[in-house]
Parts: sequence; structure tokens; C-alpha cells
Amino acid sequence: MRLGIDQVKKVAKLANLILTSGEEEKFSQQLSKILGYIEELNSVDTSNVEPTFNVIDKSNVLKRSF
Amino acid sequence: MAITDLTLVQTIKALKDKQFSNEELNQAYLNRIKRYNPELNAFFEVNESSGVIPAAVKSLISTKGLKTSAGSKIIENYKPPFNATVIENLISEGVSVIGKTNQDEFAMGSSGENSAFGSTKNPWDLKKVPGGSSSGSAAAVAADLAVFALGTDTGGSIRQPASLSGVVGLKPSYGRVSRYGAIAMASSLDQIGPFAKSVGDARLILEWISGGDKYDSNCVAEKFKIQNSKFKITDQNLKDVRVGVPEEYFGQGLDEGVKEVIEKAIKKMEELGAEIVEVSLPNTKYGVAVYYIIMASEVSSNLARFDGIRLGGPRDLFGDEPKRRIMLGTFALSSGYFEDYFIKAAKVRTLIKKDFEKAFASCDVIVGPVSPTVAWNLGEKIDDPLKMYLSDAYTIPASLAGIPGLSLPAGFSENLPVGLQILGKYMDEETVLNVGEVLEKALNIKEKPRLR
Repeated sequence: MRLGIDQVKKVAKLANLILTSGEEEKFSQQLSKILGYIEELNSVDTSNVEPTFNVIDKSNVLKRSF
Repeated sequence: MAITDLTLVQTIKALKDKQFSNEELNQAYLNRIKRYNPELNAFFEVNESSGVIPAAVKSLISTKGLKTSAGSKIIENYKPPFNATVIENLISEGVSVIGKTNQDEFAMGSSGENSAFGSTKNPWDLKKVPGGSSSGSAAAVAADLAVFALGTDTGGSIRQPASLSGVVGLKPSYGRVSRYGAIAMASSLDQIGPFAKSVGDARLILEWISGGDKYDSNCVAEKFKIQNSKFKITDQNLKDVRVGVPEEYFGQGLDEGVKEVIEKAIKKMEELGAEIVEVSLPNTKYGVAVYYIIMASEVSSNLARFDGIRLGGPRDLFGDEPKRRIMLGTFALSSGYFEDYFIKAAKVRTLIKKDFEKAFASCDVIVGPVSPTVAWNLGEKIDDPLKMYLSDAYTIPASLAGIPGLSLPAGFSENLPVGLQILGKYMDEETVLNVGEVLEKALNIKEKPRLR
């Protein structure tokens, strides 16, 4: 996945970051390279796998006195 | 033996036996800081009025009245009005903060070079990085500028600098220690832990800092206690311990010199009576990719609070690395890419976690290198973020699975320290520490960095 200058601008706006044109160019190159590396995840079969968002299976922990 | 050579356990005993006073103890460490910190740059701020056992604390852990910049210009002069839970816990055990340590900005980095206030130098060789992101905490303990230190580990930020700087570093299980007061980076991964001069010290510090409070609902309430369960600390051997060795941690990219030190340490474990078992962690190779999606996504959310209005300066004060990760995370969470990136990474995270569960069915601990190389030259990887990220390939999987990991000094390559990583089952720091302590004694490494 290549992140072009236009997309870098769009993401920067979403992230509330003001980038210089030099930074836009640099991040376009660096993030494209990183996303290229991350694409290797596409080769993993995850069709029957649940996502892990937290390693602890806890929800709605209520306050109590310690 | 100088006061500053003593471990924490030895220091406590010496104080009890009145061999020296708290004033003499603090003066001895303050003198060393005065002498060596200007070139090491391990501390941002030194607390001259530290009164009892002096500990160094990573900048991003909140300390009342002491600057907590997290290595960032955006909150350069922030002094919290409260102490993090771990600091309160330490104070109640007779510990004081002698200084706040240098770090990569918001804990993002593997070399210490992403600090907004200059890199920390490796005490073993001032031209080398000390590792990161808890760079100053590792260097402070390695150079005897504090009895021990606290750091945080999200993808390896305690274990890797401990390895590169030749000290003991422990990342506890996720949820073992309250993070209240630690400036958040990636909340499903962050954990506070100790840098220490010995494994026994690390065990004691974990007892002190562990346990829940009402402010971190991911943290278990119970304190870590020395259990003397299956395997006693007083045992001098590793009989009946099954040590798993994953082939995936010894493949391409592992430096020959590092490999030799690690293999020698494993041989030593075998001599001590351990049973060496081959295990497989087949999804290890996806760890870095999974981590850089999940961590960056959580970063983009956590760092949104620095909006230039309520706390800190404007967002353009962020350094390159936080900006890069905020951008990456924002992209991964954005409409149209969320399923393909964030959810995909969370699913592969499940596979990595299952790898460990399966492997631990046939062993008690898993060992391997912490870092594929020894400390590298300052400046060497700073222009290639991906190369820097890949140096964390052996520490990231345990972070994603939430399990504990210890970095134990195991020897030297190219005259620089090499750490052995000992991973344990979830919430089984006891076995990790016990195995580490027996091996530490057998390896008997006495070398210290020679500072001039």
C-alpha cells in the first residue's frame, strides 16, 4: 500500500497534525515502506480467528474499596 | 566495595546494620551523578533532596513536583500535582526518587535517540546507544547512578535497553502493576517494571510496585508475593525445569556473537539440570507488523489528548516518531482501512498469543535473545524507522501476549553486553525470576562499565 501525498494530507487532517511539505514527502515515503512491510499479514489465514484487543478477559470492572 | 556497587538487597541490609546512613547513601549516588551524568545524559532532572533509598524513575511516570516531560517538548515543563501509584508504593517502602530519567519521546523508540532533549549514551561505550525507550533508566543502573530504576515496556522498552546496557530488566505480566500516573502510549500493552543490579532486586521491587488500585481496571488487585511454589529460590540447580527454545528466535538476522552467548547460557542451564525442549512459535515473524498497527492505533488515540488546549503546547511540538506513529495509527483506524489493518492485526495477535499457550504446554520458561544485535552506533538507524522497528522482533511477541519477560546479563560480544530473555507463563513471574536467579549465580558476571 502506497500512501501518496494526498492521502498523507488527509490522514494528517484526521490526526490534527499540521505537517510541512517536507514532512509530507518524508512521511509519504516512510509510511509507504512501513505499510508495505505490514502487508505480509495478508498472507495469514485468519478466517476463523477472533481478534484480541486486550489479553485480559475482563469487562465492566466495578470500583470497590482496596 | 563502594556504596554504589551494592545491590538493593545488600543496601537494605547495610542500612539496617548501620554500615552507612541514608545521607551517606544518597551523597554517594549524587556524587556519581554529578560526575558521570553530563556525558551519559541519563537524567533530565536530579532530586538533591532524595532522602532514603534512591531510585531513578523514567520521565513519563508521574512524580509530584518533579518534571514529567516524557522526553517531549509538548509537555517540557509539566510538573504533576500527584504521584503515580508505583511511586506511592515505593515511598511507603522507604524509597525516594533521586531523578527522572531520559527516554525516547512518549516511549517511542529503541535507541533513546528520539528524546527531544538529547540521546543517552551507553555506559559501556559512549559512541553506542543504550537501547530504548527506557534509555536513561537502563544507563543509570548500569553506571551505578541509582540503586535501581523504573521503566515502562510496551514492545520491549525495559528488556531491550537492559540487554544493551548489561543490567537486569523485568517486564511484568500485563495487569501486574498499576499504570495509574504513567503517561499512556499503547494501553493494551503498556506495563511498568524494574531495572535492577540483580534478579533478587527485581523480585523485591516487583513485590513493592505490584497490585491493583482503583485507577487501573486492567490491573489485578493482588500483590506479587514470593511463593516458593514448585521451585525454591534456595535451590542451586534447575532440576525439573523445562526450558523451551524456539527456533524462530535463532534464525536470520541474529548476530553470530549474540547467538554464541545465548547458546552458551542455554548450555549452562542444561548443566544445571534443566531439560531443554524445542518449541515452536510459528507466528513470531508477524509480531513486528501486528505491533506497529495495534500500538500505533492506540498511540493515535492516547496522544489525541495533547490537543494544545488543555495540556501542553501545540501539536507541532511532537517529534518525528510520535508524528509518524500517530499518522500510521490514524490511517489504520480510518474508515475503509479499519477491517483490513486494525482488525486483521488483532486477529494475528490472537495467533501469536496461542503460539505461547501451546509452547508453554511443554515447558516452564522460554529462552532466547532479547535483541538480535549488541548496542549499535548512535545515529546508525535513525533515518530508517523500519530497520529500527525490526530490532524489536524478539521482545514484541511477549508484549502482544501479555506474558512476563526478564532480560538477564548473559555475557559479552564485541565487548558489549548481551541479555538472555526468559519468558514465562501469564502471571508466573515467580518461575521466570527463580530460573533467572539460579542462572545469574552460575554465570557469575562481575564486569562493570569502565567510566572515566
